Amino acid sequence: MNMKPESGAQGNCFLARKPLAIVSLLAIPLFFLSTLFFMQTIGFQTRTFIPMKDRKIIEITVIRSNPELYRYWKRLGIKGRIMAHAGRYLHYVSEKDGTSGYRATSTYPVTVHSLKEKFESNVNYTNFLWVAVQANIARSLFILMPPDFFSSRFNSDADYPERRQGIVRDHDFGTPRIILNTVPALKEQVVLNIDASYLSSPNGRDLLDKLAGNVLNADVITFCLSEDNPDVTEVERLQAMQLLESFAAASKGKIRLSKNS
Amino acid sequence: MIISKKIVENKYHLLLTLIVLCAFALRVAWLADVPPNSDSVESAATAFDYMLNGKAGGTMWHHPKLRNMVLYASINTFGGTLWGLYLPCMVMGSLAVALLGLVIKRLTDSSLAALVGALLLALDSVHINFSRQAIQEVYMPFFTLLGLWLVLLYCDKGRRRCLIIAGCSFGLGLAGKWYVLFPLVVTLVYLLWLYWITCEQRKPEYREIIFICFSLTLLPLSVYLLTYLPWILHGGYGLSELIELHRLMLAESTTHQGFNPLITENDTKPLLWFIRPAGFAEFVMQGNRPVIFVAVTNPIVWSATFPALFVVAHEAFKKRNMQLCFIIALFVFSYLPLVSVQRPIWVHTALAVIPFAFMLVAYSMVIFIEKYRRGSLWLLVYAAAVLLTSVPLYMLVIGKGYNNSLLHPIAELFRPAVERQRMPQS
Repeated sequence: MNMKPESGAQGNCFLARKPLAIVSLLAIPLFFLSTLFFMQTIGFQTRTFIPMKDRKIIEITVIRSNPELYRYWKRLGIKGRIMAHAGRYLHYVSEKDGTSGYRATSTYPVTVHSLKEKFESNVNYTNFLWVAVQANIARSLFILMPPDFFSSRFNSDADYPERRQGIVRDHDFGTPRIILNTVPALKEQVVLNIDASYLSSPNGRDLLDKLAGNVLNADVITFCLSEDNPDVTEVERLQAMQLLESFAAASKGKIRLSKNS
Repeated sequence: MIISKKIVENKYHLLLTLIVLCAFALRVAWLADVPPNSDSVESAATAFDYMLNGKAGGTMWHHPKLRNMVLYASINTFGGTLWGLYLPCMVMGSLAVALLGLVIKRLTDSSLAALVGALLLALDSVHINFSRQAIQEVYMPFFTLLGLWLVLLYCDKGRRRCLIIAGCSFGLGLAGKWYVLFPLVVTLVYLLWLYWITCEQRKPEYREIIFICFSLTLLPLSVYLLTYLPWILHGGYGLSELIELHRLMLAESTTHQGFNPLITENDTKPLLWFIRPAGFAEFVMQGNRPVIFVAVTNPIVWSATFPALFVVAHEAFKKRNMQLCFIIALFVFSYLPLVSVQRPIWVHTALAVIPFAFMLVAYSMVIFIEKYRRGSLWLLVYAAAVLLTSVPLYMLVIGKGYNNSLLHPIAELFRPAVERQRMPQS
């Protein structure tokens, strides 16, 4: 079909224009590449990594409760990190109005106020990982569960097709939340928290071996006794602490325990 | 001829301005009478959460993030007033009316078609409804029409900066809703085809072809990516995580059933949009009484789309007219993807399609006038019918239809089934 532009103009620009200079032609792809570079760089610069005093020593800070753990992360100024949590529970109960970190009133004038202080004042064992995500401490979560606990929790949940391979992929409005029954291989350094509920399980020793073998590379490592969590018994806390102390003692100085001051 | 072509041509800009001012008045009037709706309030909270906290969540998280940036800027400028919440959508909705007129004029060279098309959009109840909210639906027609107009300016005047601004406009449209991708692709193909046809007598300038491709691919993509800066800046995310976020957004978009289980009772089949009236209803509490807003498509306008499509297609084929083919392609390739989607698609998504539908209807009117002796009389009758039917539809949109005895039965059609069951049988 021989189509011609009608009057009204179309196409005049192509007949009389001077050819475009190469420099001008490259402006748009350069802008595009600069955009990619800029966004990648700025994201990376937001992440705070804690310098390790001695790379050969694995420093584990012992924390008594989950709110104290959250405040410890805040004090260190951790931001935009991959967080790995080893424990039996998800600690991801969101606030009732937790779809957004801000709330707006429903009459004029509409006022918008932050809920961050409210979230942080209510941090506890049920929600501290959720609050860590809201506060941008964690940009993604890996939750390592003891295998038998993982199986009993997820094996009958058809929403997660990969559960039989030991992985559950979920997200919280785009923030990845991955639950596994084995230690993940991650290239980036993580913020690692080991809960007493994990170390007291039969897999606790295995986790410590992997940690000592640098399978999981972490610059901030905490061990939380979860004294505020009624689902972790005093016996389990004692078992976990004893395991950690004996492992540290046997590591010939490679693993060092410290208390949160 | 009853409608004097000369008057229309001479007073075209004045008439278009009047239509735009009326459009703005319709989008503003009686808005202060009711409290803000829940979508707008939650969008405000989500906007602050995105800009100050980098959170991609909140309401309608599966859509791109331009709405958050615009709403945040607007509330910070005008406060949490009516203007802070709604001014961006009111302005975009009104300017879309002007842009539709300008685009129709450039594509058809008919001032009358331009004014008819602009009037149809100005009076459209679905467009009015979503121009009176804070959500992103009216971003689609505005940025798409702005991009189209600038592309056509580039074609007419050869100003390359117009094409660059068009690329940015399409990028912003994509950052409002992804549906803008379809008219963007059609526009790129049209421009390349136009170039090829125009230059068939001489050697093509490949740098110009590359410039066109870059302006309508890399440039919109760059602008689109930059709207994710708050998410990356606050969250420490990288580009690979941005791709993963989009995978999750796409998964949600393809399966989305609405955030409110009652919302699926609104019309959700794009195939029926241009066949029978479709509607979208919501409410807001004023004291202890609900105010019901119902946006119903005007059957006199929307149902004329398919007949208009055939009329314009016949004209395009007969006259070998590229511009008319372009209009048809814009409509078909914006509409078909929505028809083919399996999940519910609510009628507000039709805002991605109706600018092109109204182009077809408006131009088919002009063909009709030129063909038939009393054509202009029939056009006036049609315009009067559109105006008359728009009045009750407008009353339903602004929440004043429910308490009107004539319109109450229409509003009742949108009462959720579970509510109807609870009502005492009369």
